[in-house]
Amino acid sequence: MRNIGLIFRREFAAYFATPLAYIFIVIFLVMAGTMTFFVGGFLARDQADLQPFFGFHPWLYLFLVPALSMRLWAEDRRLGTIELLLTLPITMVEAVIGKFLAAWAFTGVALALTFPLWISVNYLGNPDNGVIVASYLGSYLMAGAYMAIGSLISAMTKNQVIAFVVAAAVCFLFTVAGSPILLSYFENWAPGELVQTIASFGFMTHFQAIQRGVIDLRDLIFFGSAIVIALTANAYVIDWKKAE
Amino acid sequence: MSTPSAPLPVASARARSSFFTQGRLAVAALFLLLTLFLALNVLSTALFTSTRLDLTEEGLFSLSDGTEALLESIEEPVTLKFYYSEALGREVPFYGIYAGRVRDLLDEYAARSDGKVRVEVYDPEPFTELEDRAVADGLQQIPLQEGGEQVFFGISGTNLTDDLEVIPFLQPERETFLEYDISRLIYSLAKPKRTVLGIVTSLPMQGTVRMNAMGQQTPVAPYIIADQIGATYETRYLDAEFDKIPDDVTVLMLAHTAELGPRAQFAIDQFLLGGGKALVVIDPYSETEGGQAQFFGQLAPERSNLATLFDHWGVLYDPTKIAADRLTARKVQPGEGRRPVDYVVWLELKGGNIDQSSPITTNVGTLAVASAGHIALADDAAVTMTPLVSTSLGSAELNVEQVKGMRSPEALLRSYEPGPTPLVIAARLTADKMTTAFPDGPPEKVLKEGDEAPGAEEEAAYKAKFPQVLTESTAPLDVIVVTDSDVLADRFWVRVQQFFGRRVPVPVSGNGDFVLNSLDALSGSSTLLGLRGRGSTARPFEVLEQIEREAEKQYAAREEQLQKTLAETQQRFDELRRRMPDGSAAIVTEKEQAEIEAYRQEILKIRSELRAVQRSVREDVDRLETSLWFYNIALVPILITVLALILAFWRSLRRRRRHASAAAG
Repeated sequence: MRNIGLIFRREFAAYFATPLAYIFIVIFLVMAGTMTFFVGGFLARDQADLQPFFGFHPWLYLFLVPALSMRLWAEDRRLGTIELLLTLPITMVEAVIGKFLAAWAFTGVALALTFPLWISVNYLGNPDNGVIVASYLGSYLMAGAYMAIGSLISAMTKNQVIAFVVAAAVCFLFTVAGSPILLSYFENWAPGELVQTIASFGFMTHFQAIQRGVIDLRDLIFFGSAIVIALTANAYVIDWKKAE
Repeated sequence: MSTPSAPLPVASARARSSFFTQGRLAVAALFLLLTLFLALNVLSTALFTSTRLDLTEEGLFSLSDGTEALLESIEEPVTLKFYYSEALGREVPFYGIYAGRVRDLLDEYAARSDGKVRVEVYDPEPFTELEDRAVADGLQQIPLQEGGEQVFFGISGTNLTDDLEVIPFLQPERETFLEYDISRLIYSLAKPKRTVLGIVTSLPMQGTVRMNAMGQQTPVAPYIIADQIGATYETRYLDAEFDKIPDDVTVLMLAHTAELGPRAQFAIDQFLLGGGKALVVIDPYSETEGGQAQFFGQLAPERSNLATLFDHWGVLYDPTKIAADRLTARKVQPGEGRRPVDYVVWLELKGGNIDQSSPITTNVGTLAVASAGHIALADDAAVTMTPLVSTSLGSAELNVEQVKGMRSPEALLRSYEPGPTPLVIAARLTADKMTTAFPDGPPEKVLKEGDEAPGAEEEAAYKAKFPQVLTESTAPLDVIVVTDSDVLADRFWVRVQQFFGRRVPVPVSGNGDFVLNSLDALSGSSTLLGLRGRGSTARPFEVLEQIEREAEKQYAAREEQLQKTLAETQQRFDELRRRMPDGSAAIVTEKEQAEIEAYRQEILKIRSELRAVQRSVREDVDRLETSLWFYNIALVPILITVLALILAFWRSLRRRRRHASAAAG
């Protein structure tokens, strides 16, 4: 536990040591705000809720989270610092969890900095703040799942660009799993149960469920298991690649 | 016999062993993990059906106390059949997700009902017996594509006596009322006795016979709405001269009754104090029936009222005034070949005109009214009014005489002067406690011409009908008032098509839903009433609305003043010019010329000021919008950039100092 904390602090502080982190946050905030106001029609809708804001989160994370996660392991592998890290008196699992938590906390900071919108919507009308709390939680969980997948893919390659592209592609599949874009390929030949099962693995499906204001245990299990399993796989992959 | 193979080189064997132990194992582990992920989620979807934390303000997705109480009070077991075509979910995954929620909620009902609610789930495939059963149960079939497979998505419920209640199709738009709809269905099955609805009306709701232009008697069909009410309620039409509401009537519908006498109003008063509920449809001018010569049956009155009771409750209603609204006016063609114009007293109310938070009006898309009245509350009113349907801001009040006889929609439009507030067309009136409007007890009979004064025996028989005269309510007062009787008439809300000899009504407005929902709300038990009003979906930006209203108010006053000044100046200017004959410009004195120029300048100035005032209406809103954009898109990124620059500067400064001290050391 102590070691996880150490790795977390070191990695988290490292984010803020480079301009990249600030650029990431600024891009995230500007894009989230712009989409909410200009694409989502926040003011024209005349509704005191944050639906147009949260509606774009899966698509924002699709590009921004892989951009953050690509360097998690690929960088260490390219520079060879991974060996150094693993010679320290910490376990592989601790390293994986520590790095993941630091990156997840960083997205948390970016997400938290969208607070002016929450204030605005409370100033303009009378929103259901319970729904907003649930949506923030859902969005953060979803970001965690994207991050865990990104971390796993980053561990598979030494090339950050490949890590980014593959992570974005895999995340895209998980994002659209519940939407007609993907399901239309299956519904003509696959049995109904299979199509429904594929749909139930869509990030969007679970995120939308939470966005209604209800934290369902099944949605928590979905995102939680996606994170835990991706991180476990992450540890296996590092262990495997270490031998190369 | 196998020949012994040459021993593998040591390095190669190690690599292969490493490949097996590391590579294959890792790949196998990855597959195992993926399988674990899939299995875990498929299992959790099946196992944890109702473990959730509802964070919504009104607990929209949790079974409410009202439903729990209802489930406890069930005496007769109820079976709910959930018909859901999987094909629908495959084609439109959104419906698949919603179906999952419906199923969860139904399971929740079953789990909490102690075995009194049974849930069965069916997937009616095309051309099967199950499909026939779904149709027989009254479920609505929807084609997936044009001419394609028909799908079902609804609930039917039955009790031990084979009563049937149906939700023909579950619309996702009504998700926030899903619990209400299911509870209502269970409620009506658990309480198999149908509500008795007393109807008092002067309208030919049950059909009549009229003379046509050829002088022949022609039957006029019953109102569609009367048919629909009859399908849900046990209806009892009461004589307009009634002096007591029958004991088994629990809901009363007054549909444009003639001016009710004191005894009839006393009967209503006692009925309401005793816990009865009422839907009161009154009208300053019935377009459908008013003034129409009727050769058979009673002549329907032009106007209706409930003056004594309204006065007592503090409800203000003027039967000579009509609500006009330019924004919701329907277009009519004033004459052949003429351009359609807005007829400001025929309204099609929708959107913000209808209260979206009430189950009575939430699924009512539009409500068509024709020369409706309006109600308001007096300052010291004894009742609370919840408006259900109102006109828009800037509505006007017209005199009933202006819309009678030969009408000129264009003239009404020309003389239209917007008023300050919306007018309430329909509202729900409630009060926890209410006193009688007849403190002196049963009133005397009003004698018409030729009537004989009632004898002592007759009076005694009348008094005996009220063994106990209520002076105070025994249950909360609950009355819905609609100030237009034309909402009931077919011609304003429904098109009737003949289909193989059958009358098929095709609604073009939500009037039918509105009336049925109102009766439904009134006849519901207190359990159901507790469920109503949850899930207000509309949460407008009140601040923006307020700013717009304020700006418009300011604008209206200033504009009026400027317009007045402009008109006066223009008039003085014209007068001055009239005084000068043509071609007299040369002999105009300098003083007069200066005066003309001053007026001209004045007019230009006022015009430009008017434009500025008009612009200023949007300015406040625009200003707020701009600052919202700034605070939400730019402010935090700017602060972060500044912070990053400061940090970078500080770091480089520190580095330089360190270098300097290292060099010095």
